[in-house]
Amino acid sequence: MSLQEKYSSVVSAAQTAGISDLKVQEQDGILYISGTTSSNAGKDAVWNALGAIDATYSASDINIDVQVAGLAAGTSLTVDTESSNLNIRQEPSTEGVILGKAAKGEVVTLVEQSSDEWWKIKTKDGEEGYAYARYLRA
Amino acid sequence: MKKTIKITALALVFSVAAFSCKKNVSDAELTTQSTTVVAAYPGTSVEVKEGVAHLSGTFASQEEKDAAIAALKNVKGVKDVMDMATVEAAASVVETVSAVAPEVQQKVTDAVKDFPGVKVDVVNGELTLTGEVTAEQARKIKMSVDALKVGKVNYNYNVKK
Repeated sequence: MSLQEKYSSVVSAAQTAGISDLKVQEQDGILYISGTTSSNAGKDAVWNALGAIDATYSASDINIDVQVAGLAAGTSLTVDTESSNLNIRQEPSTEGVILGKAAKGEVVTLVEQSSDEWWKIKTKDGEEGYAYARYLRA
Repeated sequence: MKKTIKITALALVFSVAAFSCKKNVSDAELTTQSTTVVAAYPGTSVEVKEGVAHLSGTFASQEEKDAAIAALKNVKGVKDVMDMATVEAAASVVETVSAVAPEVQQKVTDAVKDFPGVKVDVVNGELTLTGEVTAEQARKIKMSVDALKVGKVNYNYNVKK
């Protein structure tokens, strides 16, 4: 069974979710699925489809790179950490100095999507800095 | 006067004959000829309707498509070519980065920082994750690590259900 067949449900989830610039290609034994979406719902749909096949999210033969992109500055984002506060840092790295924190469930404002990993945000108290994008939901 | 009518009538007969002669190369026949022309390009097909060749399918390259269109225009009886064919997208290569590059290492550190139970090593050039995580954490880690595109990643941790 080819990887395309094995993960056909993930590909169709991406198509159904309307992922933009969707690319599906096999390379070196890995199926790469990439694209962008304007909301976390689209990204979640793709990952949920993977979870239905690979409940432990441990597969090495699939690489999903679906990013929430193209958000306008000023977009409201919800902090989605496991339980702890989200660090707001001076630099886009966990090495960066912590300038402030945002609580789980807090709504912050997007300043810019600096990279796939780090977005610049502003809290309601006016603290501005970089936060790890995985913990922000659009 | 009579002669003129005769000539006019004759001309009319000829023109009708010429017209019907052109019409005689039927669409079916032109389709057969055109199909032979595009047979060199797998995945493509052509159908002639009222003298117009409708070309469809996917060509391997723009050059091949242009060549096919030119060849179809040379088929006697084909008035025009309706281009409905596409060109296959050039196979792009997924660009991967080295798992040992310092900037990649930092990003990996960022990705697993919140999960102290996870250990990251590079084994034979492949990023290898061990330790204990929940499925939800494994999902978050894979989301971040997959985005880095470091080639094969071994997610060898114990995933608690």
